[in-house]
Amino acid sequence: MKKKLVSILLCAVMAVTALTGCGSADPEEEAKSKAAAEGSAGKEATGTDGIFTYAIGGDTGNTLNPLTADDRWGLMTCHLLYAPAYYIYPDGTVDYILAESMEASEDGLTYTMKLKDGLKWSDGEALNAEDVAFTYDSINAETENLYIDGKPIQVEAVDDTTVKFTLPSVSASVTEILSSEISILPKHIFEEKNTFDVNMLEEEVVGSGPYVLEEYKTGQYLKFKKNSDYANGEAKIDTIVYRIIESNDTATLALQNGEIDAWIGLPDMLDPYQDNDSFNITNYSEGRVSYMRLNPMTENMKDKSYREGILQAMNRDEIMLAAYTDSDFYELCYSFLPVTNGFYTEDVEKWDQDLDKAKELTANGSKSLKLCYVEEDAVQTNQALTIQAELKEIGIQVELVGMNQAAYMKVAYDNSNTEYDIFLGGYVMGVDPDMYSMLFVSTKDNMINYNNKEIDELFAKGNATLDEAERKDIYTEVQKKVAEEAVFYPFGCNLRTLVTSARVEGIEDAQLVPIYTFGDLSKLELK
Amino acid sequence: MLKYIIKRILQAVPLLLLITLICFGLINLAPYDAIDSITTPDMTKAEVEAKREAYGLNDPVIVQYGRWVGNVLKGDFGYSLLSHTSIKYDLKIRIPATIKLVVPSYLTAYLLSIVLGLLAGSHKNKWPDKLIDGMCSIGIATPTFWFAMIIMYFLGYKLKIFPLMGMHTIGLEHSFADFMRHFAMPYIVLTIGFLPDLTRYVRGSTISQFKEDYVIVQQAFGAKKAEILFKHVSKNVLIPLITKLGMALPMLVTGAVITETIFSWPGIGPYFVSAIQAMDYPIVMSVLVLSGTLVILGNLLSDILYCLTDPRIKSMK
Repeated sequence: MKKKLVSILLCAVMAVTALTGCGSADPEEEAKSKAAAEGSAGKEATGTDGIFTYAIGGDTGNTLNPLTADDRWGLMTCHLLYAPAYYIYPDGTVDYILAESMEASEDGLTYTMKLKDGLKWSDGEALNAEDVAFTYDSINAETENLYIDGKPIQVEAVDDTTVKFTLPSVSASVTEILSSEISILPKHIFEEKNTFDVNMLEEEVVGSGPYVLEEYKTGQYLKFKKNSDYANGEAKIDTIVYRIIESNDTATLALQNGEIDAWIGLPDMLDPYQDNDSFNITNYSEGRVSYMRLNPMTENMKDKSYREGILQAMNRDEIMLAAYTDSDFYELCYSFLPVTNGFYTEDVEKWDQDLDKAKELTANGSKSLKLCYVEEDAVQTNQALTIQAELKEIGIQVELVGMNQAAYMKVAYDNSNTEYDIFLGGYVMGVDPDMYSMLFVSTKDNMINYNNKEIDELFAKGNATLDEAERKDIYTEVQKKVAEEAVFYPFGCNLRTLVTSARVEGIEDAQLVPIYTFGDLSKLELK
Repeated sequence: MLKYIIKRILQAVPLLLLITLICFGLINLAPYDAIDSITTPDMTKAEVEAKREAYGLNDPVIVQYGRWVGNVLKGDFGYSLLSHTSIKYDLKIRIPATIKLVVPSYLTAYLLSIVLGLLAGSHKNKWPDKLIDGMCSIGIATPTFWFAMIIMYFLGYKLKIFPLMGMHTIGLEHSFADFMRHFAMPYIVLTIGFLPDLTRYVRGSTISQFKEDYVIVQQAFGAKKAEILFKHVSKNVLIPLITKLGMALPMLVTGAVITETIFSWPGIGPYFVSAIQAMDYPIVMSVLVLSGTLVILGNLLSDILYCLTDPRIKSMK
């Protein structure tokens, strides 16, 4: 018995030494790993040379669909791997990427896009007008988001570098419609595939963005290396890593330790970075409107006066303060447009808090409601809790149902869903007010679930004229009508806080933008 | 003895079938259409219908059940509703990651608990017992996530001994030393998480063994305390502990959910939790079938081990 025990122990010791032996065989590796562990041992966090690591809060999943991606992580990945023809920054400047120019005919019905010469896909194939036409045709086959007046924009590849867009009628927002979030896709890959799903574990992702995917590790990270053929010039940083860190507590410590370089900070977690030379804090507006919407499909919410009662139990400021802890991080808004938008008006029904009225209006309606929100979003969680408390004041119990982003998308964008009475959400749509038609027009995505002919018509009218003053009147009318319906209740616009380590430079050149954080990651630099 | 073992294995088979039956029943009751896990959003209605036919989703339920069990046996768990990737893929990457973390932690806790439990049990109500038992009380009352954050703060952030998260430094996937550095903190947290419960168990069973007649007899014969403890009591204490070992088998899948999430360890825990939140039924069911199967196998294993170590069992029919 004793002999046996001794031999087992000996085996164990041998195994351990053998394994440790393998591990420390390479002194260079050892040093690299140790540096990673110690954040370069110094007082200042410095990270790894040539690698920019950005913390993202969730996994993209193994499959990327550049045509239907609609979550932040998926879109961020597409933004690195694929390039649009051109990109419009929130201030209205146009950054031409694959395209060289986009010109309108005099009657405003034809747009001609000229592509740059010598464009290449990351697999070496030539990128030409056929690919562009293929991309827009594929989108038209799926959704009506590129439709004007119920008719699609016709796309035609005239020659290798010229694409002609023919509009069914004049549209004020067409240049923006044709640019927003549209990654040009390789025809030679997707035409035969029959699906736009790309398996990042097995397939090579062929794109024309500033970076190409080097490796996807389930639940750990996405690693990209620079694309030397990128149309706007080779990127300055060799490698970019999107590191998946679900816990914000972990992410903030990792940033302070130099294991990551950038993280979107929560307002109540910024203390270690204030007045700290090793880090930079940048607040920026995404033009993101956070909102609550009532689901008119459920029995409880069918009655308009009941909905009005619910809205009058709300207090915007209280909800936003609970979510962002300090009024420095948000601005209240009363219409579906962000406050910074040129067409924004406050001359709408604001549904100011009036508890007596709220009680009266909801007296005959349901006393228990279900609210659906994104669970991993701390901001939405706080909003949900505040709404629950506010509705309790008027005697309505709210059951909070938190889900993860992907599940939420599935439920919230299902316009026939009758399970949840209230949804929390937020959107970033763009500059032109017509971009917001997707939220309310019944023939488009209709994310807020409106079915009001009048609103459909007003949006169509607003887009059909190029006269600024007339448009202003029309969109003011739309904002009023949307508010009156008592379905959509905007809270306000928040600022997003990006914390970067001091070695990250060129943020101004890369420009901070909605959704993707960096407009052009190829311009970012490491000191 | 062989007869007993075979009998127990045979008994486990219908139980396993029952588990698959319950899981399949739940899948069918779940408010989703199985076709969603196969199709992609950009397929046309006709394509979806063709897939439905091809995957036999128009067949009677019992035929579908047979096929599903067959697929599960082959290791094919279907597709995630959300990412449309084969679940087999994810499990193949995530289960080994969890095992790498849970097995060493559990074994360490197991061995430590035997030492501490025996020590505490044999010194009942004296200071070693009070100390160990007190620590166990604190250990049980401490939430894992809090303890993990504390460990992370001191060892990872303040002292910078270990990296804060992940399983490897990017680019060093094959370095064992690098793995050990990432492994250390979650390992400590898990070991300390498993320890109090096991120690209490050993302590309780030691105390009850000390009350047995054979101990009094030994004492009457003038045996030393250490002799009684190591020669007699410890053997009897270890037998029920074997049951614990078998019962711990399902932990290979779901043993470290919180710890994995905090340390961004790419194991099955965060995967399972996010699948539940995302209502990704095929993943939830796969993990349930797996851990359900492990519960039954664990029971079977502990029965067999018990029978091997304590020959009295096999005579109890």
